[in-house]
Amino acid sequence: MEEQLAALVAEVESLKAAAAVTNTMFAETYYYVTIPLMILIHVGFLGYEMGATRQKNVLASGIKNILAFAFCVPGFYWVGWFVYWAWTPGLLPTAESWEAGMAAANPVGEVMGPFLGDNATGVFWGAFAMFAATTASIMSGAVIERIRIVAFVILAFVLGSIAWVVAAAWGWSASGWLVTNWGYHDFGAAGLVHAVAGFFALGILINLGPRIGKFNADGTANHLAGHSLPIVLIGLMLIIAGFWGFLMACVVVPGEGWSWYSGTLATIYGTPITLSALAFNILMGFAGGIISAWMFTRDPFWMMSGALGGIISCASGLDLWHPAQAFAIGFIGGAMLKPGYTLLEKLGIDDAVGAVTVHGTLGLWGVMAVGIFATGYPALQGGPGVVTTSFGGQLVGAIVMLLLGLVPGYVISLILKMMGVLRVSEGAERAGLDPTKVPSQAYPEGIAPSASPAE
Amino acid sequence: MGSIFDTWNDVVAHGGAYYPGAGGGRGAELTWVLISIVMCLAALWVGGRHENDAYRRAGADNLEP
Repeated sequence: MEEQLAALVAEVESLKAAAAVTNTMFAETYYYVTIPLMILIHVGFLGYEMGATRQKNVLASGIKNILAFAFCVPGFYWVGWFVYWAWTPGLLPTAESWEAGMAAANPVGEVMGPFLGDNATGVFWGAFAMFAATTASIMSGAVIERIRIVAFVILAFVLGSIAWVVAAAWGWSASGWLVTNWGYHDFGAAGLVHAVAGFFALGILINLGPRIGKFNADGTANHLAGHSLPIVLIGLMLIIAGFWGFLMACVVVPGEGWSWYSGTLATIYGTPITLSALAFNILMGFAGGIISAWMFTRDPFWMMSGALGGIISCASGLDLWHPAQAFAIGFIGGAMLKPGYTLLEKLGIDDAVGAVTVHGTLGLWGVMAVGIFATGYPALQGGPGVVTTSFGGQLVGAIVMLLLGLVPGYVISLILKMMGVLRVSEGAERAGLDPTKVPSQAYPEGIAPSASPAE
Repeated sequence: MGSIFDTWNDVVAHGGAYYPGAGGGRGAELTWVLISIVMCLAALWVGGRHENDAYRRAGADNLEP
C-alpha cells in the first residue's frame, strides 16, 4: 500500500511538472504569436501611408514607414524597455524602481538575451517593441510628403522609445502613479499609445507646416488625394487584423511566476478579463465605427478610419464594456472623425491621413468613455478600499497623455526646424521625393486615371 | 568572445545566459550595445548626407514631375 501511495505521489508530481512545462510553453508561445500579428499593423500602415501618398512620393513614404519600424526596435531595446520598468513613480525613477528596471530590462545585463529558464522577457520585450513601432507608424502617416528622413527617425525614436513608454510606465503598470493614485484604466492603450502618438504628430505638424498646395491664399483647404485609395483601404483592414495581436498582448496569461492568477487571464493591472470579452467588444466597436462613418460621410476612407476609430474609442474599457455599449462608443467615435479632421484643416494643420483625429482625439475619447460609463471599478487587484476608476482619474490621465504626446513632439520638431533639418527643400517637394532621392520607381509603366467621384 | 562552456549539460540543467560572452561580466554586452548604437548613428549620418545632396541637386536642377 505504501509503495502504491509513493508511486501515486511520484506520478502526481510528474504530471504537475509536465503541466507546468506546458503552461510555460503556452505562455511563451502566446506572446510570441502576438508579434507577427502586430507586424500586420505595420504591413497595414505601410499600405495605408503609401496609398495616401501622391504618386511622386510613394516610395519615399514607404521608406519612411519601414525605417520607423526598423529604428524603433533597437531604440526600444537600448532605452524603452528599461524606461517602462524604471519610470513608474513619476517624472524621475526612485532607487527602488531603478532597481526594478535593472533587474528586468538592463540592456547590458544577461536578462536581455538568450537565457535558458527565462521564457518571458524576450517575448514581452518583443510585444512591447511592436507597440513602440506602432506609435511611430501612427505619427508617420501624418507627416508624409515633406519631412526629412533623419528628422523623422529622431522623432520616431523619441516617441517610440521614450514618450509613449513613460505614458505606459505611468498608466499601464500596476505600479504606475496614474493607476495607484488615480485609478487610471486604459486596458487597450487608447491614451498611452493612440493619444500620445496622435498628439505627438500634432506637435510636429505645427512646426512642419502643410504640404505645398494644401491650402489656398484665403485659408481654404484642398484635398490632396493619394494615388491609391484601394491600397489605403486594404492597409486599414490589415491594421484591424493586427489589432487582435496588439490587444491579445495586453493580456497577462495565468499560471506563471509573473502571472496575476493561477487560472484566470488578467489585464496588465491585475484585474480579470477573458478573451471572449475582447472578441465581443473589439468586433462591436469596429462595426459601430464603420457604420457611423458611413452614415456621416459615405466615404470608404472614413469608413475604414471609422473601423480603426471605433476600436480605439472602446480600447480603454475593452475588458469592461457590454458589447452593445462598445458598439455605441465606437459609433460616437466614428461620428467624431470628419468634424475633427475638418476642424484641424480650419486651423491650418495638414494631417495627411487624419492621424491626429483618429488616434489623438479618439484616443482621448476612449479614455474618457471609461470615466463616463465605467466608473467605480476596482482599478487594481486587491480587497475593499483599492483605488477605483473615476471621471476625475480618467480626466487626469487624458490630460497627461495629451501632454506626453504634444510637448515632446512640438519641442523636438521645433529644435529640428531651427537647425534647418525638419523639412525637405521646396524644389524636392515640388519635384517629388521619389525622383529626388529614391533609386527605384513605384510604377515604371504609370497608372491610368480612374473615374470621377460621385460626390 | 565565443562560448565560455564546452558542454550544454550545465546550461540545460541549471539555466542561464548562453550567448557569446555571457557570464564574463558586462564587457561583451556593453561592447555590442555600443557597436549597435554607433552603427545606427552612422546610418543616420550617411542617410542625412545623401538627403542633403539630393535636395541640393533638386534645387539646382529645378526638377519638375
